[in-house]
Amino acid sequence: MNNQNHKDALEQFLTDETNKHEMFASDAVWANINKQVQTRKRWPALTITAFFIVVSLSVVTALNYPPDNILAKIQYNDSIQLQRQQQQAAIIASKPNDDNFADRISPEKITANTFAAIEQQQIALIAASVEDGKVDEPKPDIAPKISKIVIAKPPTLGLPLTFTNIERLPAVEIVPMDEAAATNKKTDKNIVETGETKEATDNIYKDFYASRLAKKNSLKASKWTYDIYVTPSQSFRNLEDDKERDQYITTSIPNATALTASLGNIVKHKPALGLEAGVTIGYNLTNRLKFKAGVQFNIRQYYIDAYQTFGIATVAIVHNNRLDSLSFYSRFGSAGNSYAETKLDNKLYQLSIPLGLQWDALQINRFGISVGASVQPTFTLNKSIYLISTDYKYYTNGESFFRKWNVNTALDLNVSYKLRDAKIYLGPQVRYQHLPTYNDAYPIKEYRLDYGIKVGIIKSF
Amino acid sequence: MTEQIIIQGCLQSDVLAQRELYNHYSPKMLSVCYRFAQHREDAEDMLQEAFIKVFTQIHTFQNKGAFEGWIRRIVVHTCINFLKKYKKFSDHTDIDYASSLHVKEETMPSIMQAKQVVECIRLLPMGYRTVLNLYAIEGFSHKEVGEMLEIGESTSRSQYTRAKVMLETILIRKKIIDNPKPELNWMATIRNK
Repeated sequence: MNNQNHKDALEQFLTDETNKHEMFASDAVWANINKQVQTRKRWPALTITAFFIVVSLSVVTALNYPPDNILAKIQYNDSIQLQRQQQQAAIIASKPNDDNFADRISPEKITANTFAAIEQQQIALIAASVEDGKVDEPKPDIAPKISKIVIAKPPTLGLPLTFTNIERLPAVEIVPMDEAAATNKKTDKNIVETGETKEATDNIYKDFYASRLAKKNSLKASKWTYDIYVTPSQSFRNLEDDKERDQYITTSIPNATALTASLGNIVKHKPALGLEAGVTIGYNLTNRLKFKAGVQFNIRQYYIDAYQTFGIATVAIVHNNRLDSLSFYSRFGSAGNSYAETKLDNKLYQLSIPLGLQWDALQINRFGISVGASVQPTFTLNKSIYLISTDYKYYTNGESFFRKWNVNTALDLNVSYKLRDAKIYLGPQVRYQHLPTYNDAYPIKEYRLDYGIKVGIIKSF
Repeated sequence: MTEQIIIQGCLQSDVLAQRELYNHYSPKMLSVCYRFAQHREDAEDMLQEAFIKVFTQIHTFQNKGAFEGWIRRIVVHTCINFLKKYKKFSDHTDIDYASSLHVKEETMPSIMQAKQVVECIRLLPMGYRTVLNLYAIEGFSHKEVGEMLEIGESTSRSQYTRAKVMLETILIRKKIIDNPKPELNWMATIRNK
């Protein structure tokens, strides 16, 4: 811009006139500007919360059903099903064309000749394969090799011999050779030749029921549980001003001694709704006592009634036995006359690690009462928070005094209801912040207290 | 609230300070945009884009010179980029159009003189208007105008001369200026040359 020095009359006239001209933009322009400028720095709370919940659910699902187990289970089920189909096909193929086949393979009719016949058929099949030259062709070893056929006889364990019981137990159980080799001892025990004694047959069922019972008990006695919960809560705070700086009063440093009102009267605080959501893994130390650890996401907030104004907020600090002060730009005052009222939202997003114990105090039928306590090392994710100046006149950004790590304690009392494979619970919770929100340099100490209702579900692994 | 406090607030992304800044400067800056734009809607789009830049780039302001000047430069550059982006600036077409332009008095508003002058400037074709705005009002040199509009310095000069003649005609017809006017005797000087 270097032609300013030799403007002619028309240029000067144009400059003067256009500089006088003003126009007013529509409200939408400011709305769009504000939206775009503020959105860039806005904390993505919803995204973080959603991400946290998705990750928590994924972790719990993965712990409950590890991918390897799922695959192994699917493969195992597939191979078992294939084996059974092939076995049935082989039996059907070997079935002679008479109408009494069902009668002949009934437990009462099976004799040593039956097995001999089956073996003969197998030998014949193998021989036929050799003659056809099919033996040399490598085939996948999918078909089970039948080593023994165990005859099922009616159980003698006191069970009534009803149609249902017979139906539940296999009349003929074919033991594949692989399984027989792997569990040699068990297979030997289970081998029952035709005409075996009654005790041998009973052993089969004893083992069968014992294994089923053991499996059931092992599921019941799982010591690990997981717990998903949310706690809507109201956040309160308590402010304490340590007046150490009063010993260093100078005329240049603003302080609160000139004010007659107490801090509690000046700060108008309204509790606001917050939320805690988390997942914990529990370990049963005893039947009633459980250790829990997990991860929890917290939103804690409260509102402050303030007034729009402009000024310099001064914070007096005592550091190394010297009184010092820091000044901050402020647009919110704690008291106002003609200023517009406004509401400050002191909101914190936190991540904490609850470590605690839960004691099941009472269990009546499906209902129970439990008490829990946890210590929660807490990391605060955001920094935007307001603090009051030490002369109690202004609110300003408290980022520079903010304490990132803190410790909370939570106590809860729950009423639970046992479902088929889970337990839901509901109850009040109190959560207290042990260290002041701001670090030691800031002389006004803030302690937070949340009252909430905890709702959750506990399941065993 | 002083300008320094407003700037400090804007540096902290304070909404109220930003609003204060916007309220203070947007009327003038919208007028700047309006002189460059074809329509009022375009002017508002330019203003919006410019203020977003102001708020996001405010940390680059180094207190050298007037803050208004800094904002104004951002606004002007945003306007030029806007015109380039939407292909609303084409010198050749505008020159042809300008030669055959007939100004009708009834098309012009008759309110305040400043507004009349601005409306008269807006009657110029886009190419003329842009050069005139940049050179005569915003104070850029022809070399700078040429670089900004990606045209030659001589083209800038010639367009400006034509724009000036045309604008003077319009202003005389609207009786905003007299002909001849003692303090505007530059026309006589040009004609004598």
